[in-house]
Amino acid sequence: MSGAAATITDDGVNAEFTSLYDIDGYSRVPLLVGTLPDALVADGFVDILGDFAATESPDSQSIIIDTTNTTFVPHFTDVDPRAFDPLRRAIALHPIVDLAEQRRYIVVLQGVKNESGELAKAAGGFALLRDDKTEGIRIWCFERRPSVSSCNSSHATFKGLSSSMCGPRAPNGSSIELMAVSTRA
Amino acid sequence: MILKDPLPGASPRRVLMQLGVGDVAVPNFATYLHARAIGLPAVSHTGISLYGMPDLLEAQSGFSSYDYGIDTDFYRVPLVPEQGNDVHDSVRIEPAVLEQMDRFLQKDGMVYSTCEGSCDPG
Repeated sequence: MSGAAATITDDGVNAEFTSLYDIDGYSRVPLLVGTLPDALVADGFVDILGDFAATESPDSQSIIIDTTNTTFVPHFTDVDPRAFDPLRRAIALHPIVDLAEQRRYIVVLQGVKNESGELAKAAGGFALLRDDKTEGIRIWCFERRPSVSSCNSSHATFKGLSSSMCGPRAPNGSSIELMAVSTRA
Repeated sequence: MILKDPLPGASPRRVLMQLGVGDVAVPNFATYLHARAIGLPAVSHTGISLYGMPDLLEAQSGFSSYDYGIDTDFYRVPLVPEQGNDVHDSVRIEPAVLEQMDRFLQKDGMVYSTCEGSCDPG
């Protein structure tokens, strides 16, 4: 509020919170949502009552990485039980600490299972990158890395993961990239 | 912002946050998130620590939970619970909760645990 609509105290002092802090409408703990083209199950994810610290490990089925300091963001994960189409079940990651502004995050999913207990299929875009079939395709949101190994070498902790990235903009200009990942033997 | 980075001109604040375990009206996760964002420590005698919150015996500002023995497994399913419970409206009238508020609101009051062991009034 501003002008005559602004809230003031009894002694006339501006009491508008937003005149001191701009509100951009974004949560600092956004819901990160993605899916995979398979009938996903929640098995293996750390849920709301789980041990959040377990998501701060490269072995976690879901990982959120702060690319500035290469630390893990603790979180829990839901798989939407309301989806009408089992092939479109949303995976929702809930950070439990505030994300930083102007920061790039990578979200990793690995070892996600389908109803048959098999590894879920990779997302189409990720599969193209993983299988090096992106010739002629514009990678729209992330500089394509020359190879999976170079990606791993920049995050030595995460060896064994293959990766690709794409995704939406996040709060306050932070960039969140949904990285679909499958483990490699 | 409330404790760590108050608004210009704001007087120092103290915060007491109280939670009932298994609250259906206000999911515990939301309260934990709020407490964590403010930077509140847990105040209890239980030694049970919540992620990101140190567990103290007393503090200027703090967070205490009261456990009625409700099975919180319903939180695992991300849907509105089919059944309600009395947790939300019960915390505020518990003697231990009232005593904690009373001690907090005294001049120079602090957040103390007013339970012997875990706070399980149920």
